[in-house]
Amino acid sequence: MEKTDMIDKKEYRHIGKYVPRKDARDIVTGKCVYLEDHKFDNLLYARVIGSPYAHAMIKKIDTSKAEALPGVAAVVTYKNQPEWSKRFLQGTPPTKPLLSQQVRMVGDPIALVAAETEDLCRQAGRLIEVEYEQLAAVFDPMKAMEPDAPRIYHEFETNRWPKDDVAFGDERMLASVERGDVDKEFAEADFIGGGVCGFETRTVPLAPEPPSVVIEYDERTGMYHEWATSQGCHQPAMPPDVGRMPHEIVIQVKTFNVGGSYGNKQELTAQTMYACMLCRLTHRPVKFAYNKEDQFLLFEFRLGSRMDIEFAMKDGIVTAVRGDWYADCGTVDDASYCITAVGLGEMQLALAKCRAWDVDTVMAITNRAYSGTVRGFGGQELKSAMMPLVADAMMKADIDPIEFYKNNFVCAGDRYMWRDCIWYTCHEVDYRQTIDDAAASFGWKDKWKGWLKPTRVNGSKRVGVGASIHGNGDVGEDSSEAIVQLRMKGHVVIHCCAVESGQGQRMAIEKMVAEVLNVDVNMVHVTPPSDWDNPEEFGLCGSRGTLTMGTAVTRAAEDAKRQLFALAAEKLCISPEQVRTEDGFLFAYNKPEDKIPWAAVIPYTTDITGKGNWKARYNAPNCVINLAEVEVDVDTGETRMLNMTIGTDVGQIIDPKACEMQLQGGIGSAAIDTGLFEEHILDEYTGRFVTGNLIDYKWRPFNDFPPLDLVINESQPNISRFRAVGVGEISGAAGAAAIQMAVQNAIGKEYRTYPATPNNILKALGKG
Amino acid sequence: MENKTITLTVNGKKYVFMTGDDSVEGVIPNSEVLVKTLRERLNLTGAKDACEEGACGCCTVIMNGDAVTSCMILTVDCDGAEITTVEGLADPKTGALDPLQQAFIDKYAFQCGYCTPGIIMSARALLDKNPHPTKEEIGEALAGNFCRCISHYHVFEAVEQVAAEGR
Repeated sequence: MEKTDMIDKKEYRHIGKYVPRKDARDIVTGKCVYLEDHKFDNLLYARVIGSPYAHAMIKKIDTSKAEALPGVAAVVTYKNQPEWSKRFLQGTPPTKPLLSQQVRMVGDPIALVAAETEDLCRQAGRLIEVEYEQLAAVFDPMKAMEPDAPRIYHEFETNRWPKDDVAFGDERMLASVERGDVDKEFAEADFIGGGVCGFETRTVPLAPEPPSVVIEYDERTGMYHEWATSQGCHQPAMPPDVGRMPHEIVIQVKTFNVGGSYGNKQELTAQTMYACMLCRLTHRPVKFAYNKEDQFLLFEFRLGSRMDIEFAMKDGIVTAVRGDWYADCGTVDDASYCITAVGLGEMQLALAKCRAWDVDTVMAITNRAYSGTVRGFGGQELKSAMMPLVADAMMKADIDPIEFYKNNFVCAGDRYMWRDCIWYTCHEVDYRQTIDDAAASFGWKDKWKGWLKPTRVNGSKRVGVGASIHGNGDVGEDSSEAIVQLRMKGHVVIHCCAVESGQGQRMAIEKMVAEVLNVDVNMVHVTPPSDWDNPEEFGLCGSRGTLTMGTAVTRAAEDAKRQLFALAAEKLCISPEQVRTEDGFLFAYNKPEDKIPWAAVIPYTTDITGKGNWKARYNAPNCVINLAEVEVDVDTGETRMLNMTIGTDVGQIIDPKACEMQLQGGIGSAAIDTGLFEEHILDEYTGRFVTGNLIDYKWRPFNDFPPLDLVINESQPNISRFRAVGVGEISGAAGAAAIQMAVQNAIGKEYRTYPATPNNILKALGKG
Repeated sequence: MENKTITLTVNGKKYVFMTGDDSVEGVIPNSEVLVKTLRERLNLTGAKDACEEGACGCCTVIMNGDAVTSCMILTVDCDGAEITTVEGLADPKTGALDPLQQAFIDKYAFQCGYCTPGIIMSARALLDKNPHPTKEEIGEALAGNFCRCISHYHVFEAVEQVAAEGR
């Protein structure tokens, strides 16, 4: 399908301009409230008392001394867990009980304690006497699936999550891509490349504010009231909807401002279920907060990813793909095959001209802490493992990667099967110009010297460049509903469950509604984030907010405006089409001086209410290309990022500064820097991570930021009124693969390892 | 356990606390760190108690002119200290923001904002001592402040703007 409605970029009153967020003053003065800052009455604190072993059976457990400690309200183990909570299960499908006799990872709960203070919880934990029988543990996904591997769940003989009929909401998840004549395409290929590549460094997005929940049980209604540090209110309320808790349970969720998430603080499944059990048991509100160490060691990791795949290429186009994609979810992953389902969709976007597919996914269970949703959801896991293998085919064909991306990446008219097993035809988008623009800004033509060839050499220091690309159809995922109320004094209230965790989406929807109604942004207000007090809204994830939430509020504002103009037309004795509005006043298009206030048509103690919604669709994927220039010292193995370019086409910028930071954000949160230095190191003898703090786990400090060039196009695709699409989810998803390619070219040898630590580089050079 | 009286001046206001025997309600235990005192006793919640090991800088305040991580300082050791938190930067009478706070708004130098109070206090301490720092000096001064949203490029713009104006 061709682009249907190309227009020139419009000049808007608010859209495309920077307007400070409503919470800006509170943030810079320290008055902004996060969950930790709010005082709850009558609160109990809870902690997990975790197993010191990666795999063991509890032979004996005595909690009597802990229970006798003054101030301790509850000590729950597998032995005394309330019957009604035994249907609280983690995983998709729901499998892992909150507490069990078998512990499957270091930190797996042997007991949950609720007490008057966190210190008392710790003291109680030390008084619990446990006798374990240690079991063999396994940490490598391939070894875990061998027939004689220790069995981690008795249900799953070969330590694989079952993937038959995995569903999310009303969607069936894509578990494999199979079509076309794969053998024929391979037989006719000019070049075949591929092999094995892994991205298994167990990285963590590490939001500054650790994950926490406070939950209170309402004995009268049987509902749970939760305050969560989640980037969406819907997600923590989901366990009963997806079978992890009994279906009749209702959880109402509210948030304060959230101190970062990066796709990671979403469902908070374990925390929510622990606190639900303890608050109902103790009849008091319970706070379950991870500290930084817990967040490092126990919270949701990025999924491990390993591919054994080969690619057939003819005339510069990948024509066939075959092989397996192995994921390591640790002991459990609530999103599990949903993540790889999105990844499989994204694989088709990257190789959109490919005719023949035979790619299967396999999710292994191991004895490390559990995985979950992380920014890039399937995309970074996909690209980091896949691109080095695709690059092998490019290298054999001696194709410039920029040309390859232009010729293979999805554009209008290409068809693909998305995560929901439904075919979509790409609509509107064409990113070839953006690829060219980003490459030109980076200076690719001058810097690219060919495969395994450095850009320049200065003694032991060798400079190389690399590029990788990513796109995601989830920008249109799931449903949004919104209500817009027009108040008689010219104020506008948006009822939409938009959480502020850093994206600035609350301000973005205020600007969209202000634009529709032609009012000052300060006259537009969004209701506080609460799933119960607002229309249904899936929440911010997958960069969906701009298109989905934005469209719902825009339609609601248009609906309200239509009603307002109908009333005004009657009052002004003109047709609705002739009515105009500005800053709470109404007038005929040709008589702006004869204006009447909204109050003249909105009766006292009433308002005008407009409704809008968005239904999921996946046919206009976004795109980001990452280009990296690195310097590798082949004597020391040290690698340094010299500069980077991030290119994208956002359709239309809503806020230029927010857009810039969404792209810059791709450096952090376990994204681009996973190519350079971010990794969690596991001691496979004990099953414990040795990098569980901000000193040992490497992150990029202020004095080490490379020059970063942003290329942001605005091609105005006809996808919504404001023609804008989000990109934050994917800004760094392809970055690690770009770095891998740059390192490979710098050192002049095949290199498929993450991250580019001195050890890994020297090993690749045969010096390790 | 012997009790001891300490005096803190926080955001220009003097406070006297008893420290020592934590079995007595209201007495600050010797193990209490400054960020707890600020947050839980003075309700100054701008400084965040995020990592509890002095590594993230979210709890940064200015003590006697230096940026310090308040999670690593025992309150009992702060007797006589002059402490400024992010709540103390704006003019208490007019409400006018510190130029650095205003620059953070003008440049949109935050995203989630959780680490922002700490970054502002580290930058304020630098600018108080060195009104015209270089970009490298700004980077060094903020190297202990963890920001995972990656607002760094905008933070540099904000601090450099104030540095250029010498405020």
